[in-house]
Amino acid sequence: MKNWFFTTVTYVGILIAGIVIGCIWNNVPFFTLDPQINIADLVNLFVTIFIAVVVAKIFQYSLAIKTYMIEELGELVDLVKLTHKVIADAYSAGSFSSTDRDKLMFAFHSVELKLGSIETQMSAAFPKRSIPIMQSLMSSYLDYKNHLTGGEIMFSSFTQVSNTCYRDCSTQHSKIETAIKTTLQKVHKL
Amino acid sequence: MEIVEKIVIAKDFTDALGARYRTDGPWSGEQFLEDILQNKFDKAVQTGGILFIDLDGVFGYPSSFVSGSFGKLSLDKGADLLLKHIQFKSDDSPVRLYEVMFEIKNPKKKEKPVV
Repeated sequence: MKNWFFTTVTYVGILIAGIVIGCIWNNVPFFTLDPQINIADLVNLFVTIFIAVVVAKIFQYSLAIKTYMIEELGELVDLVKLTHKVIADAYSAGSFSSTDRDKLMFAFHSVELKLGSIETQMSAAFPKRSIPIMQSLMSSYLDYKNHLTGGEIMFSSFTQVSNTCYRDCSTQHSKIETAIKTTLQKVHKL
Repeated sequence: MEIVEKIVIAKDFTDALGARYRTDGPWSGEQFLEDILQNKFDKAVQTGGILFIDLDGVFGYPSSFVSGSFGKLSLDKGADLLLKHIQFKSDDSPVRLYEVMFEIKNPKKKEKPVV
């Protein structure tokens, strides 16, 4: 019953709207074509408008993608900070346990998930231009990871973060942060 | 080539990998290479097949583990032979796959410390 009522109202509504539009169309001619206008000029005008709209759309799309990728790179900076935080916390506490080692590896795992996601998105949005940018970022990341997980920190005998180790880790952290922020600038320029 | 050998690292070895050498602690790259990888890789090469390695389900791959296992095998046997006979799977993280492949193609020679 209810459905029948709404269906009837919809049909009547469409009929009334059609009558109103018909009246306006016949009696209020907002646009009339001047017979003196050259048809080629008219086509030229429409083509120009069409191109402007298409270019604007492409520009808007590219800008939206870049903004999104820049946000993703910002999140990558935050995730990389978590890897350094494990070292910084252990340095403050004066001890480094196997739990800290697991935390460090898990933090790297999270970084790699984000990095993988960024790589996939970048190659989808900018297939050719993103390759050298991502290769450079990946190389910087592997250097950073190699410094933290390629040496003594992974030894089971490593139980304390020394001053030298902490200083080295801080330097490497600064380098990877700079590399990510440089990538961010490159994405801006794409 | 068909898959003749298979290693699921998280199941056949551990999900918390260690460092480079046995002397560095448990679940090292050296232990993985000598106890599992070397043997299965040789079998795959002898039969002309593929060794399938599943990298998923592990809490990250320390660079020293990757270097001590895949890097060392690449130094011993040559990157081309490894790439011909090993197929990796890493659904968890494409970066992990990139890292392992990079190590195989550019293995770093490390002198084993005298204990």
